[in-house]
Amino acid sequence: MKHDAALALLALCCLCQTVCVVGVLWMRDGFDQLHFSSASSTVGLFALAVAVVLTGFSSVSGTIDCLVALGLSFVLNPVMTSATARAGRRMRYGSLDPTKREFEQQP
Amino acid sequence: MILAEWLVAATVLLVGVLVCGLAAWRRAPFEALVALELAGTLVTMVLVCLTVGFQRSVYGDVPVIAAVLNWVGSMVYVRFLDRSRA
Repeated sequence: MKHDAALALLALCCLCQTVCVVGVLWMRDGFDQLHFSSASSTVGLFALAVAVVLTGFSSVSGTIDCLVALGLSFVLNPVMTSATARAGRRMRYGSLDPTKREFEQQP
Repeated sequence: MILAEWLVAATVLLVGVLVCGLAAWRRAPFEALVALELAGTLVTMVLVCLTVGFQRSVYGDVPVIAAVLNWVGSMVYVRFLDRSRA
């Protein structure tokens, strides 16, 4: 039962990550690609973490190491995404402030 | 003991890394950086899959280091990208 659950979660992880890769390839705009890139550290990552716990090692330290690695990705990836988005916006528009057109489109 | 399904998952994720590398090679700097960040996350997951697949707990340190270095490397690239706008 645990083995089957781990297999299902592993398949879910591969599916989620494949969707992210296809999304990054498919989207033309860098900011749209960033949505798919940041999604790679959400559902797929959690599915992999649960699969690691279910499969386990002969010693607990291996499981903890893997969970720490996945946890670090989960915590650090949003910081990286936010910094990338800010740099991209400054690169494209010169500042972080909304453009006149964006300001007018606000409800 | 080798768990073949984990090695298959690592191979599937590794194909994603190669595709991201190709995208990073051919695209403009900002879009390339996005692809590089995704590749970094995938590499961490590949290393976790290999660690579990080979059932060697000593390999577990490698994905931890990869996760940290991926973040540090990406932030350095972000910094250079931010400076290059002028």
